Amino acid sequence: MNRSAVFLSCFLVACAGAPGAQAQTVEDFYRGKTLRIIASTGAAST
Amino acid sequence: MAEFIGNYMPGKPNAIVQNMPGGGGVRAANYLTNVAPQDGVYLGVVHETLASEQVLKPEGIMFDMSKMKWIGVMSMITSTLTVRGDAPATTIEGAKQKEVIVASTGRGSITHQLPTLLNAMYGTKFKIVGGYQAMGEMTLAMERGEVHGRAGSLVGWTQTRAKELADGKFVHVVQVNLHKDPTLPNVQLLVDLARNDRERQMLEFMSSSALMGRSLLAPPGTPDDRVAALRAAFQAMVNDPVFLDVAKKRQHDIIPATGEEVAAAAAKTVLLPKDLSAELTKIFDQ
Repeated sequence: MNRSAVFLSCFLVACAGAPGAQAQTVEDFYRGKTLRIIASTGAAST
Repeated sequence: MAEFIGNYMPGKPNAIVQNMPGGGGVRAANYLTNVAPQDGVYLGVVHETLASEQVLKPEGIMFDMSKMKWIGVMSMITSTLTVRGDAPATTIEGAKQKEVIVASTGRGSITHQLPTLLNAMYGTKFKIVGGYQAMGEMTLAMERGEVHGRAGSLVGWTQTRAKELADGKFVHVVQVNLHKDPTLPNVQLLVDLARNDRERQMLEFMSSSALMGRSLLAPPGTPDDRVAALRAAFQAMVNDPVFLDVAKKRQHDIIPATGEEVAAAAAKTVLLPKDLSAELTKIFDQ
């Protein structure tokens, strides 16, 4: 394995281990959020 | 719904409602499609007529109801054509023989569209009297004997005139929904009047908005995993005895449907063939 390949392997391992690299779960996304429900009001025209 | 939906969501978010008037729901749907973040935080409860409006009156519409991510239906909105028990006719067959006077708020409303459609397609003799402002006003006009009937949502009847309905003072002539309302097993469905596939497509188009009543949707770009979480939370909510008990105390009927069901209905509605939409537009303009 040459130097470039070693560097690339280390880089990929480091990225995979970083917290930001993991996909955010749905639970993480919604925690602390406020859903905004837009309600149309008024008479229908059709 | 806003009080409850977050309880069933992963992460238990809060929820608030923001009213958005304008264009019979067109403004809200345009906002959800083109302005609101498509991340699963912004949701909508919009008028059930928007999918049919997209087909019949597309001016100003910058949304596609078939591309919305439908979360679920809290309660279908069945409409009826309802007349006094002593009206000259209380059935579609009878209304082909005798004139029945019905009140209307105007051309764009079901109060005009339903009797007009029945007259044009089935030869009934509903005489439409316009100029009324609201459903309650038309109901009072029926009670005074000014008119024989009116079209409108079933819930408007059950919440205000349940006893009169039970006593036969008012009679439902026909119901508009894709499936019979559980409380009206003996009232004819509009779609069952269809004599051929062409008529069935038109009547299903008219009836499909019932399924989109009181439904929750997300903007078209909402990620699939969040849509799945929202749909699961919605179904958990409408099946929770605690939620159902609160709804009952507030006199809200819960007749739910899934997001998948309403998505299929919306897709079918917006794909009405052009010749049929042109025919309906012509009928409603009469």
